[in-house]
Amino acid sequence: MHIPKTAGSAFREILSRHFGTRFLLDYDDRPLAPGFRWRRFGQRVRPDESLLDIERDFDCVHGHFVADKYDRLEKPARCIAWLRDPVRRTVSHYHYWKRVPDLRNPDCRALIERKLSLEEFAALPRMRNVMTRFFGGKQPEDFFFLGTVETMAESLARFHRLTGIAVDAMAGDRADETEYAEPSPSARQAVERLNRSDRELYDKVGAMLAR
Amino acid sequence: MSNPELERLRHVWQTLGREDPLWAVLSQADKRGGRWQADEFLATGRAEIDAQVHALAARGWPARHALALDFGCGAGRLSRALAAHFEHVIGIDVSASMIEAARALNRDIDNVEFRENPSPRLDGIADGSVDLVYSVMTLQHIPSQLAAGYVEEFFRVLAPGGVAVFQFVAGADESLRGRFFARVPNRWLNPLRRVAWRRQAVFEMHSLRECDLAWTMVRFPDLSIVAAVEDSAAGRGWHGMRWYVVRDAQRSENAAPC
Repeated sequence: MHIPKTAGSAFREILSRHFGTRFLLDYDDRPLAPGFRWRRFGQRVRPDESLLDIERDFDCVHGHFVADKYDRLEKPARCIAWLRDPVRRTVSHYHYWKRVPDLRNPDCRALIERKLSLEEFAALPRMRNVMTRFFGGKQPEDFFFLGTVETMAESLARFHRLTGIAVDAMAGDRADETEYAEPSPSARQAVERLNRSDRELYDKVGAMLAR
Repeated sequence: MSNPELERLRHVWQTLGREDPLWAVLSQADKRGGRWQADEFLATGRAEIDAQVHALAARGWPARHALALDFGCGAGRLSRALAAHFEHVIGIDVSASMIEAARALNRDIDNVEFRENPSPRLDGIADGSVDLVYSVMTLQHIPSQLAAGYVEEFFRVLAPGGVAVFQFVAGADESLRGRFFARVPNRWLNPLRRVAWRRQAVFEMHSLRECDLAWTMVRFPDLSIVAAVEDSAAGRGWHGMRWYVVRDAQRSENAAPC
């Protein structure tokens, strides 16, 4: 499960190299775009046969979707994801959309056309607690692997120990190498306040990894 | 003993160990009622262990062959087979009657010891001392929380360069039978099992989620899963797995479990 701006693009390369033709990209759901609830409803009522096709043809699915999307597979799937400090994730998302606009998304259009500030962008309802929403009803304990961008090297080493997948080529999210200016204290505070669930989630995972 | 789940488990396996120990270990319908021949029963263990040990040796595991641990040894079917490959073997089981049966069946083997272990830990097994931890068709009968604790113990006792091989049920599958198992708890299934097996003491099935074991491994940074394969030992409706977990040969004191 690729949560936007959590090093997913670089990680995708690792998975793609490992799984080859049995690697499926699933970016159709667009969980941050309007109408997602309907798309999600459609997934829940779709016949099991479509999942069986996926199970037959692929060993790994990567993309922007809510974590429980593949819960109905015949064999239980191992769910893995990366997290990022909620403020840094939001800042990265803000700058990324300014640099590479997704004009299908009304929030992105608003950001560009109305020249939203970071606080205004973070206050858009669909931009709040993004990580929590991607988790759906799942808890961190339900994931086979969770890494954090802030502990990239350790997380990758653990991923390798758990899966045997070679990780040597991943140095960071290439789409996000730009160093952004630190948000002002007031902006940081505002983003924190708007992402309380994500902060709790991120801190919980941090505590689980520190045990 | 203060753990009621462990006490219940012990009681069931004490009874099964008294009534029909070989069938309780390998529950084939045509062998119920003391119809396993000892030679035939032990041959199944030899075939399994020889194949596993040779496959592991091809990849260089374990680094030494000093000590093997057979967790949930039952009547010693696998312990005996392991004794052909290791200097010393410890078979442990929660049930005293099973341990008695194991001792009786393996009197002629002198590098195997059988220990009753009525504890949620592997009492008396030192940290980092075991070259091969082996457990099949055992964790699937142990309540999940207890089973997860035993897996953590496998990780604790594993020696540098050692390998833990263990089978478990990761969940029910999406078949009709699996959906039934997933929705009906053991306390409802047990009366049906009592009728089907015509005995009062029946063993239960419990699943152990892979993600829970993966989180346990966070505490053991020198362990790697070198293989995780599907295992059908639990039967239809269950999604069984067999994990092979290796401890780095270069384990330092600093890399000990946190």
